[in-house]
Formats: sequence, structure tokens, C-alpha cells
Amino acid sequence: MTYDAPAGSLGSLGAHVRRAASGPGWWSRWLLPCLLVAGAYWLGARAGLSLALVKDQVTPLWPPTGIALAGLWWTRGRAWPGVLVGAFAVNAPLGPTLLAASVIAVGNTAAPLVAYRVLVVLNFRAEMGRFRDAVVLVGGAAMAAMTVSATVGASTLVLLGPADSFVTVWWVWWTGDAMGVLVVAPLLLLVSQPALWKGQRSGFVLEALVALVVAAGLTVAVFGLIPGQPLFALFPVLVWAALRFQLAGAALVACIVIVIATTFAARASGPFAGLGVLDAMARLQVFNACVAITSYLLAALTAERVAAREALVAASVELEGRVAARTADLSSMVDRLERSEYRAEQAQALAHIGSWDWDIAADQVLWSEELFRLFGMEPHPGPVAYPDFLGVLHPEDRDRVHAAVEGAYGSGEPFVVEHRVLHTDGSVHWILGRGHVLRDGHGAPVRMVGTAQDMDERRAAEGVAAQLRQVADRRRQALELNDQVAQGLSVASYALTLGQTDVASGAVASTLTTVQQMVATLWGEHAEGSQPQAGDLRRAVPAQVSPTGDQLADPAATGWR
Amino acid sequence: MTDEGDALLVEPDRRDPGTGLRAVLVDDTAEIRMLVKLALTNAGIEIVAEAANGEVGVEQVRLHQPDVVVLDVAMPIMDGIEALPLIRAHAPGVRVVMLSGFPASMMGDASEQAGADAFVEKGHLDLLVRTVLRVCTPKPVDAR
Repeated sequence: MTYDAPAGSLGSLGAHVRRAASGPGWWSRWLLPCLLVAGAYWLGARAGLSLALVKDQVTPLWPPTGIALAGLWWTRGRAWPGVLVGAFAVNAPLGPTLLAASVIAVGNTAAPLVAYRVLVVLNFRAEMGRFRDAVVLVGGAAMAAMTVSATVGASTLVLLGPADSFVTVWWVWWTGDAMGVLVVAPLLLLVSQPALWKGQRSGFVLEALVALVVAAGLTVAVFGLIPGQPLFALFPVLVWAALRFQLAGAALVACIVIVIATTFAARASGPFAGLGVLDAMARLQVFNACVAITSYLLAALTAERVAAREALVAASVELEGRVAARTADLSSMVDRLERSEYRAEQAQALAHIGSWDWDIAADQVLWSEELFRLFGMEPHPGPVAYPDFLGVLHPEDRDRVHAAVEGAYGSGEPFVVEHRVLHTDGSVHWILGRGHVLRDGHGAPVRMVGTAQDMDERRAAEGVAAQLRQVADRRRQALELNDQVAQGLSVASYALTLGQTDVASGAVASTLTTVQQMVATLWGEHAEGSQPQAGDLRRAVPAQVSPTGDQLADPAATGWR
Repeated sequence: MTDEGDALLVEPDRRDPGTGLRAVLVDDTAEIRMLVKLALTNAGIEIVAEAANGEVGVEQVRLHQPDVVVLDVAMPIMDGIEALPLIRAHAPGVRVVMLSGFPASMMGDASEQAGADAFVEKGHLDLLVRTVLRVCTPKPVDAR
């Protein structure tokens, strides 16, 4: 066992002494506290004996017990020899014999040691901020532990000395020791709690002093001046002190009231005039116990409530701090999101790609601004209903798009569909729509997202490309006409001019065959291989071979000979 | 078509015994070459060479240094528009008459820009012969 550990076990006292005497700084850790405790014990005893009721040795208020308990508390039990020495020094002159004084001294040492152990075991705290601290001090340290000294002391006086009533002596001894613990120990313990005194406003300290003076004056008045001694008049002051100043105020006021009351009892004046010792003692102790217990319980309850409120305030402050931090986080997150959304919108506007996001559970589709523009609608932040979306589509494409979306929803495969939208101004625009389903961990569809891309430019480009291809086709056909037809007819013309009719006839026949093949080919290119249908061959103007229709009727007009 | 033109082309007895002009004929159609050669020969123009594409035509012109070239526009390997500047390079002062199945409204400007002396649509043989003779006649500005 070391000095740092809670001490007080009677069985290890010898070990204590040996270790303390051999350790470094032993005098400051052990001898000095012992001497101080012994001195204080002796001084307290002198004050207490001035109030003695029995044989100048038994008093209704025995401050040394409180001093001993506080000393043991501060030194973690190490100062018990100081208590023993003090108790012996006090009792030796009182007798009746040295043996009796020694036994009494042992009993007076054992009681505070037991009280100290009780406090340690029951987890007492010297600042007495909890209700249980008051209960432990009053019930455990004062009432229960002091039966030790009362029993030892009363037995000794009855067996070895002059006293003849064990009960009377025991009762007075016990109440005196208990009151010493109740009145003095809290005062001393609180002195060692600087936190209770520091940081208080001067007004508060002044109020505490006023409370002390009022309590003292009122007690003197109630006990000595006011007829009928209305003791209950003191309780408002006790309550005031306990509520306002908690344990420090309560202990101080209770101490003053009890000391004054005990002084009156010792002088057999005031409410105690004309009473027997036992009777006066009983009255005094009941009064003192009421004062002490009322003060401490109220103070402890108040302290507990204050602590709870402070904890609540601290929790609230912490909560506010967390909320503020979280709000700042969210705010910066929202900022980042807004910036990112802005960039996305800009990118979409530049690329002419809109996007949509369908929350399947909520059945809400959110559109990007560009999507609204592509669909010829005024952008708005709210959701867009699916039927509204279908409504903007070109009527001929509606079923196809709906089927593509449904198919993707059912199969989970992405969809790609090219379709038209009908703007309110009646213009038709081409859109390339894509989309796919997002699923949760169980494979259930959660969202469907997609894009719509402006295909007008691509369509226009495709149109230009088709026109260019057509131009190229026409040029190719022109070349073919030149090669196959113009050349053939030129040959025929030249041959006729030169009178070579065989050559001309052959050239015309060959050219006719070529023309038929070309016509069939050309027809096939534009009608995708199908046969001409009724009406397809209706001509805009009648076929005309000669520059003017009547030339054949007048061979002279042809100029051919 | 005029009487004078017809006579020039079809009547051997009225055939010019010789203009002294020498021509190279470039056309991918053999029948055209045959008929044009006949017509120009009748008109007193000697065909010194023939070619079926621009590339061979350029070579023939370089070899024979003719007075005039009758040059088809649409031909394989090298067309008339491509061949024209090469012909000019190899035979300075040669006259070039472009001959084409394409209408003059389509090819005339391109031919003249390429440096042709004249453009004649196919199908008018007399016009071709007269044009060849015309471009070979020294102009007043040349005579000066």
C-alpha cells in the first residue's frame, strides 16, 4: 500500500508508519500534516469543551471530529496518528485515568477513520455537488461512524470513571461528534475547493456576507431576545443561503446557527432554560440536525440542478456549434453544387445536349435548362410530368419513343432513339434521345437518367451531304449521257451529214439500247428497285423529239436532204 | 446549215484541193474520229495524227506540230481541259478547237478560259469544219 492510495485500514497502520518514516520527504508528507492535524484537533477541542454539558468532557458540539475527518480526507488517511495524538492530548488532562484517556483517544481516532473510509467507499466528493454527497456525509460519516467514538467513550467513562448513565453519556457523545462532523467538516472541506470561491462577483460575495450576518443576528434574536423563541423563523435564512450560495453558503450559515444554538444550550438559557441535561441535549440536537440536514440537502439539490442546467447549456452550446458547422458545411457544399450545376448547364448549352433525371419512386422527372430549350419550352425548376414530355413529341414519333423508354425500363438496357419534337411555333426539330436505368443494390430500378441531343445541325449537314451526293450523281449521269448518248447521236448526226446512213443507223440503234439501260438504272436508283406504279409515268408535258412538233409533217423544214 | 457548208462537206468535186492546213484529232470515240477526219479531209485539211485520250493527244501534237487541234473535252486518262495547256506548251501558236457533247453554255467558258480558240458542240459537223477554217484564217491583228 502506498501513500497515494486511499488509506485508513486499521490493519495496515504499522506499514503506514514504517513506509512514511523511510520515504523521501516523509516529514512534509506525513509528519507535518500529523502535527497540524493534532494542533487543530486540540484547538477545536478547547472550543468544544467550552460548551461541555457532562463532566466538562462531553459537549453537544465536538469540532475536533470534523477537523479530524477533514484532515484525514486531505491526507488520504495518512494523518491518523495526528488525530490519535491530538485526542490523547485533549483527554489526558480530563481523566479520569490515563488508561481511560488512551482508550477514549483510540475511539476518537477510530470514528473519523471509519467516517473517512465510509466517504471513500461511497464515492463522496468534497465539492458536494450531488445530492448523494449530502446524504453520505449526514447519514454515513456523521450519524453512523460516530457511534464508534460514542460507544467507546461512554463505555470507558461508565466502566473506568465517574459517569453512571451510559445512555446519557452515549447520547451526548454521539450527538456532539456527529454535529462536529456535520458542522465543521463541510466548512473545512469547502475551504479546500477554490473553485467554489474563484470567479465570483463582488456583489455575490457581499450578499453571502450579508446572509451570514443576518443568520447570526437572527439566531441570537430568536434564541435570546424574542419571547417564545420562534426557532422556525431561522429556516428562511437557511433556505436562502442554500439556494443562493449552495454548499458553501449553507455550511457557513448552518455552522453559525448551530454554534449559537449550542452556546445557548450550554448556558441553559433561551429555549433550553430549566431543562434537564438529556432533555436540553435532545432538543438541541434535533434542532441542529434539522438545520444541518435542511441546509445540506437543499444545497446539494440546488447544486445538482445548477449542474444539470450548466450541462444542458453546455450541450446546447455544443449543439449550436455543431449545427453551425454543419450548416457551414452544407452551405459550402451547396455552393460547390451550384457552381458545378452552372458549369454543367453551360456545357449543355454549348453542346446542345439536355439531360433529365427521373426519380422513379417519386415519379418526378427533372429537366436541365437546355432540355427545355431543345423541347421548345420555357425552363422551370419544377418536375415535368411524363405525359407532358410525350405531348411535345412529334405525333408520329410518340409511340416509338414511349416504346423505347418502356423497353429500357423493363430490360435494363440503355435506349437510343432519334425522334422529332414539335415546338409551339410549329417548327419541327430532330432530337437524339438516350437513357438508361440506375438500380439499387437489389437490382430494383431507382432512377432513370438520359440526354437529348440537338440533331438539327447534324440533320442539316446530312441534308447538305445528300444534296452534294445528288449533285455528284447528276454530274456522273451527265457524263454518262455525254459518253453514251451525246457521242452516239453525234456519230449518227455526222454520219448522216456525210451520207453514211449505215453508220448513222448503227449509232442510233446502239444509242437507243444504251439509253434504255441508263433509264432502267436511273429509275432503280431513285425508286429503290421497285417497278413503276400506276400514275408514276404520268408526264408533265408530252414527249417531244423535234424542236417543234410539226417538223415531221413538213420534211422540207428539217433541212435534211 | 448553209448550202455552202453542205457543198463543202459532201461533194467531192467541190472539195478544196488543199488548204495546206495540218490537224491533229483527239477524241475517245473512234466513230467520231473517223467521221470528223472524213469531213476535215473533204475540206482540204490534212489529219496528221489521231489520239483517243488527252495524254496521247499531247504527245502527237508535240511530234507533229500541227496548225490546228480538234480536242474532245470528256476523255479517259486525261481530259481536254487538262490537255489544253500542255498542248499550248508543246506547240506554241497552234489553234485549238474544243469539241464536246456538253452544251456550249456548260463548257464554253471553261474551254475559253483554258485557252481554246473556239468551242463547238458535237452534232454540228459543218459548224466544226467552218470553225476550224475560221480559227486558222489569219486575223487582221495577226497580219499587221
